[in-house]
Amino acid sequence: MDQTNLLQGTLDMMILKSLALTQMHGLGIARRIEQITKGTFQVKPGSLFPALHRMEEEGWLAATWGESENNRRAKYYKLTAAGRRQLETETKRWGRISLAIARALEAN
Amino acid sequence: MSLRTRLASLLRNLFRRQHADQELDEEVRAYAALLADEKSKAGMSVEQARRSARIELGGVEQVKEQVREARAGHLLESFWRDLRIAIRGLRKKPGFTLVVVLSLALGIGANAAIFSLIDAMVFRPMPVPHAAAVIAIDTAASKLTRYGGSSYLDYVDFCARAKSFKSLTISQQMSVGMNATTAAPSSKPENIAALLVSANFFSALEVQPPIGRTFIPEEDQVPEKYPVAVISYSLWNRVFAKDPDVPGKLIKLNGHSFTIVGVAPKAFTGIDLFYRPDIFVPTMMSAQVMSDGADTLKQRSYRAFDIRGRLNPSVSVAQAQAEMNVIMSDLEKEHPESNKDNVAIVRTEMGRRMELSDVSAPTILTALVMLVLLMACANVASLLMARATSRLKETSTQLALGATRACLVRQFLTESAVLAALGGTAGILLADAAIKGFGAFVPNNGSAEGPAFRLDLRTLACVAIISMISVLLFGLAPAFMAVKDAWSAVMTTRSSASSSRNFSSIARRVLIGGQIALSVVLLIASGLFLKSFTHSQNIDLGFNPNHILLVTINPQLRGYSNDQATRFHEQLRQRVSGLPQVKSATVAARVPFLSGASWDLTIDGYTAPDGEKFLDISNNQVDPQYFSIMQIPILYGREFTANDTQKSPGVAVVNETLAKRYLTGEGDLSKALGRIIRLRDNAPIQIVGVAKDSSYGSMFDPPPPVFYLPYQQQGGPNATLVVRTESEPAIVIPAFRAEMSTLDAEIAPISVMKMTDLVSQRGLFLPRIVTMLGGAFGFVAMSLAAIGLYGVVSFMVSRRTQEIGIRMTLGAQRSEVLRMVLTNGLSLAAAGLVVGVAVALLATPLLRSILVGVSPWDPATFAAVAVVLIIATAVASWIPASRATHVDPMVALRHE
Repeated sequence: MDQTNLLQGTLDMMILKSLALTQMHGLGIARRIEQITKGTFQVKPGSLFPALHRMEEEGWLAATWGESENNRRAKYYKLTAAGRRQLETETKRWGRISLAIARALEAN
Repeated sequence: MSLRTRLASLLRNLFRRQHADQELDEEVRAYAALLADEKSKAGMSVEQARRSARIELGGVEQVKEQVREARAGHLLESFWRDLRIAIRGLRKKPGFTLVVVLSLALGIGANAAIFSLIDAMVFRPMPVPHAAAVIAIDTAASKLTRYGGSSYLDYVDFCARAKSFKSLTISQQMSVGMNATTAAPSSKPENIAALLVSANFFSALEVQPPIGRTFIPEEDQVPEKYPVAVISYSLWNRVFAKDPDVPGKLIKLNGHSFTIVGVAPKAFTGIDLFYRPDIFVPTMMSAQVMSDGADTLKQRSYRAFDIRGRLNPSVSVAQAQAEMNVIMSDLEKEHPESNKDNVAIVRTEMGRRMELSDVSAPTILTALVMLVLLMACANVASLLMARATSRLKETSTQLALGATRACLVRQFLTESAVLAALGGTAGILLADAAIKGFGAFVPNNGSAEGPAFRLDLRTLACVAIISMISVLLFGLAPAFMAVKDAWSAVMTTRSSASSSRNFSSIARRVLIGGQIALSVVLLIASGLFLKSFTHSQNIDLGFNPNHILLVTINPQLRGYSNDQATRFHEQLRQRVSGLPQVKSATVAARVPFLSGASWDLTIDGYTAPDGEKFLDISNNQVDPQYFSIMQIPILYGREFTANDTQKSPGVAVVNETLAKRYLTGEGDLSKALGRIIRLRDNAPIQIVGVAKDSSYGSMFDPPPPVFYLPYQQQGGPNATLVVRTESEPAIVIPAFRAEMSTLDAEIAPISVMKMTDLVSQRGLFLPRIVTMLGGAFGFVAMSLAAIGLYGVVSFMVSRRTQEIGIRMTLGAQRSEVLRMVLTNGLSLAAAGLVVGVAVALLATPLLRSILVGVSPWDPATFAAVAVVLIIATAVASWIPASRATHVDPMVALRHE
């Protein structure tokens, strides 16, 4: 799916979710999102990096430089406490929205 | 996100931009490398994998730019970048920048100067807390007027009866002689501005003293019991060198000792824009500081006080007015002799000023400076448009490389903002210089009894607003047009001149035409001012101001009594009369243009149509020879002689206007001789002479009725020696001063001046300032229009260089090319001229109130302006036109 079709706020949630278990670098996050959505979302660097930097400035993510599995220097992102809270809020909000949309579509 | 992390990222992005950028670069490249690794693991060759990763990434720089836009401080950062680009661009074109900044500086500076002038005369708020809530009460002697002082006894009744007011306070202006040598030994006796005030004056106005205290109620209950005074901050600084122990010190006012109890705050300069008292004294001490001070508290008809106060919460001005109407009609019943037909007018302080100030001249000047600013903005707009057109290629390239339109408009606007900031700053400097220059012509500017004409924070705020408005006025339209043109240039791949009749070129022609029209209006206005000014200098004053020296002295300053003062003046007159170079000398209580007063008069055998008992008439008290020294002809009867003394019967001289209006009508003026006038109801005074009319205080209004009494019979302590000299009056000043110090070494004159200077400073102040400013504006306007026209024609020439080259190659004559270009400029000038004259015909009648002896439709002025304008525009078009004829055809053909 194209980045422009991503619902506003969805990418943030995906990133938060993908980082819930462990810290990852940019490509790792993109691949992880692809994997957990079974390929529905393919995040391009043009939207991934602005989102990462914005979220870092918001204080949800913290970044450190580290070594990748094949010995390349890469920037690793992990969730902060604020990021975890944000993931919870986003998850609840998303649950409400999807429920509401499902109901709306079932109604006749 | 928390404010702290936001600030941290903002600071990091702004100040460690390079570092952040580098890190970002590294991060994106790492991503690409990881992606390539992934692909080569999946089986691609290294080269293929790298290539494919690049494609998937979509460009390192683009990704970085997207990240930058998401970052905090992005707007600020791009503003800095625009600013740097703008400044670099302006530095590359110093001529253009100079013309634009100069145009704006003239427009903005002129506005700042005029705003300061009007502010000093009307709008500056009273320097007290909650100034907008201060109200004023005037007492008018009839229902027809809306202005007048109040009496002390009426004030006491207002305070006792009115429920609408939280507080009412009273004050009266006067000049006192101060001797502070006991408190500050180095000081000299001097004349200062004083204010007689009720005890609650400071508390009612919510003014707190920084040193000592203000008055307490007990100090203002019993006449002459508590000689206390509050001094102004400026006096404290000037005379007492900010001595913190000044409370308790003694100073002498008119020879009486007063104890200083406190210092008023620095900001508090009194309640009147034109009067900044240096000392405040309780009303009960009036007998000590005024010659008729005891009367001021006892007579209900002595209406010389100003009432200010504050309303109770939830009471409106209209409600207070209604209550005052009832109180005034009660007082009229109780005191018919003094309060008949008197009305009280309740207004806010600002409302009162707006109603009573004569703002016609300032308003006209404001309209003129606004026009100048508008012209400056039009000029800058057209210059910016020309510049934008010449940068079409650059702008198109930027668009083609992916700059957004919003981004380009922002860049253009930033450039305008920089120009406006420069123009505003230069404008402030210009205004400051102008204010200092004009300030010298404002009577009493900055002294205790005159307006305080200065550039203050309010003016600066005004300039800032004007500058911002002008950015929008001149910057926005060219910015949009430039980007629009560039956009179409991208589309049609044309890089230089698109069509010569495109929108922005028409807009420019309209702008220049409008500017020429405006400058015609301004030039006509200033031409009329100039003519009116020349005319006003030749007005017959009714006296001869040449070779007259005026020395004003108030011996009361040294504690002299009224009689001692009169004797002092007489002795000095005799001594001065004997000096070489002096023809004769006389004493006068008032001098035309310097001072004036009106007294209540009754004329036996005359009843006013409105039943008023007293006539309020201008007067003067003069010694023998006053009329012959001033060269005011006595038409009938005689002037005063040495025989008219305190012991002889009262005599008077009246002017023609008084005689005609109240005594003889249009009949024989000599019939006025022998008639009786009285000061109020006092002893009879016989008219012994009728003098020709002469100017009293204004040379533009017809002379008012005036009566003259012998100084020996009715003179006060403050008087002027009027000395007629053989030649230049200034040369007798040293001898005069020597004579004065032989009589009293410590006395100092209040003023020493030549009558001619007095007339030109006071009498011609308004026409002079209007003429100077009007002339300056007219000239500026014409220069702006000429610069604009020059710009438009030379721009047209540069765009048609190729065409001109072809024409000349094909055999066109230089004169034909010249004509072609000149026609283009002059047709614009002609159109502007026609519109300008039409507007001027409609607008100049508005100037009638400040024009003397000139018709607002003066044909000579209109014609002269037309000629001047045609010459100016011809020169402005001829320069680029002649340049066009010297174009080398080969260069022109290659011109792209």
